[in-house]
Amino acid sequence: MDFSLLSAALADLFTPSALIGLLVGTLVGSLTGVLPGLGAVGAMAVLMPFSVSLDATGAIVMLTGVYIGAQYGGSTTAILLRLPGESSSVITSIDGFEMTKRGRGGAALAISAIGSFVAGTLSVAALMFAAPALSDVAIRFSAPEFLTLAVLALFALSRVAAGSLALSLAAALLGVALSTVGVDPISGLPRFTFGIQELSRGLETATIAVGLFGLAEILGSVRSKRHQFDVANVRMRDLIPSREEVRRSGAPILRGSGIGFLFGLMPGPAAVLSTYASYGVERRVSKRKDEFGRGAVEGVAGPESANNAASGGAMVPLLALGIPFAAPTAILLGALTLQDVAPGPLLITQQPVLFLSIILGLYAANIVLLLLNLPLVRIFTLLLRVPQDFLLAGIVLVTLVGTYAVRNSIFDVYVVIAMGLLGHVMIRARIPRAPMILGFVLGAVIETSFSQTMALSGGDAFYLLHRPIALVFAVATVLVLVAPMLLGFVRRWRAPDIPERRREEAHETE
Amino acid sequence: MRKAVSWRRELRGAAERVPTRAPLRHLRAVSAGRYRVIVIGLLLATSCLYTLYALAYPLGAITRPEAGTFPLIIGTALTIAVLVVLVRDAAGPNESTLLADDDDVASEPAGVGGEVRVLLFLLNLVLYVLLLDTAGQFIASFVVVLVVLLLARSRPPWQQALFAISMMIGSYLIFEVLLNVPLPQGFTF
Repeated sequence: MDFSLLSAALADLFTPSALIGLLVGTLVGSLTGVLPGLGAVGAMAVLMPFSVSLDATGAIVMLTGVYIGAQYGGSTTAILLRLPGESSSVITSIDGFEMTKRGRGGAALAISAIGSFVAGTLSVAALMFAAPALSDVAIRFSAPEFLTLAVLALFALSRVAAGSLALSLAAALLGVALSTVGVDPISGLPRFTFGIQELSRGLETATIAVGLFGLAEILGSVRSKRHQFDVANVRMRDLIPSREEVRRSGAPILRGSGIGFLFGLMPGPAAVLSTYASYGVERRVSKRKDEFGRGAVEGVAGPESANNAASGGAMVPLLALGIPFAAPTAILLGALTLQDVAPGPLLITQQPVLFLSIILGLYAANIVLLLLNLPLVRIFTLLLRVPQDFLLAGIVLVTLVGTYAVRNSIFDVYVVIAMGLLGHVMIRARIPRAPMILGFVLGAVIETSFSQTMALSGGDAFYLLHRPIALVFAVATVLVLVAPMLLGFVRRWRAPDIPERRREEAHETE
Repeated sequence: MRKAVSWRRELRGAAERVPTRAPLRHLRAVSAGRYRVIVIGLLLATSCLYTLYALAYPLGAITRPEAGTFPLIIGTALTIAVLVVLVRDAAGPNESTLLADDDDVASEPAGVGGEVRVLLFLLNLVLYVLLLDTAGQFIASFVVVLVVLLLARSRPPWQQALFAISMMIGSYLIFEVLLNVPLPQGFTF
């Protein structure tokens, strides 16, 4: 460990820009998690234009603070009201709310916060070692590897996104198609600009993300007219878990951290999927299986640790490969691009201070969130009583002015409104939006590496066979596409045998 | 298409057999289906147009792709994917028509009033941009906040006006003073 780098990174983190980013991000994230509606990705998108006013460390710390903060905040309402502020808190609400009904809501909140903190710490440590190791491999990547990896990321996310594969792929391809608007990166020819000068600069990631996630969620709130909530009272002394609860939570927190980090490394909505996986594991290994669903503390500790660790894991492919595997990291990539920082294998070697300060920022966000969320839990839940119309009007104004501020462009505000409408229509037609933003962000990478790969191949149809890493990614893409279909086929093929086998087993027992 | 009709008939029959709140659910399922067909149809038209436009750009050779090659590939793939979705939807309910999106609060039933609110809200946003260009940030921000509150119809006018004024001043202080963003001044300043 080079201590001069570490001290430089710490100095970067203690600049006013980074500290403001840290505080604003964690606060907004916690509020977003507590208040149902906007969602972590929506809040990240709304804050993205503001990140331009900060330096690279401040921008990333702010946006990751929102992401992690939303996981913390989301668990508060999930536990106290059975009202998950985030989809990653849905599982927590099952046993968390049962604990609240038994008067152990405060303890559930404390276990959730401690679990999230421990998982955050472990995942940041793992990120510190995993990202450079992966980056050492990725430094040998060339156009074919980036092309196949980006295509794999798109297909894998499409496979796990809500809805059918064809629909998710259509959304992803729509995103890629939008990324082709503007000047062609190879020939410099303007494409799909329809004579509009502003379109020749291309569409901005911030604008697409704010519209598709931020404004679309606002339109959803306008349409459904959400109401106020009655909030249970939580006192400071209620937050102290019993010795038994702490003892029972230790192993689930560690297991949840591991599961979450591994899920973060894979394409897809890692934070959500990891909570389901962690809950399943805890239920399977527990000696008190009957308590699950009726207030088992393991059902809170495991999933809450998993969703936080997943946030750290998701940073590995972003920082080491420059390829985001999910919507939140796609927004982070957009924010880094706004700062003229290109994440990827060279980031760690060429900008080690920035890399370290991002990691330290992630850890600092976890500390701030632990300090904020436990003592201020009562205040956060009281925010559910803030009049929704005031909140809505404020968010709308911030969204519009923030979009304008990115490039001082009125045209971008029109684009954000159009994207908001598109996002709203997509939600109503049940078309997933996460593949679309990923497609948009990866579009430029795919197009450039596609052109380079074609040139490198010299027309050789079997070119990928000479590139083992690219071949592995290509095979993985095919497996992502084909494996679930094959598994389904095998399951259907074997299904008729099951009653037959049962009859045989019954016969044997007799 | 015949299968799609029979699916709707089945839904209608199922709704009639269930006495309580099921008819509402049935209405929702049918209208969501129509809405989706329209959206997917529009997406298909867009993908076809995109592919046709791509053909207007130079395509180059396989080893030297030009401006039109990549959009042509993406447009074709998009058209095929949308066609698959249309065919699967026509064949009856599937995982993408019945499963809820992970964050789909907006897909909850809200009736005609909800759609009108969304439309008025969008018009308000367009009005904001028009005012931003002509009257400047001060008036535009006041109007957009006021109209959002008016649409909510949940408090007396003086509260709405007071909040709109405070948001107008607040946004000026945050963006113009704190973040140094040169906001459009229009004819007001």
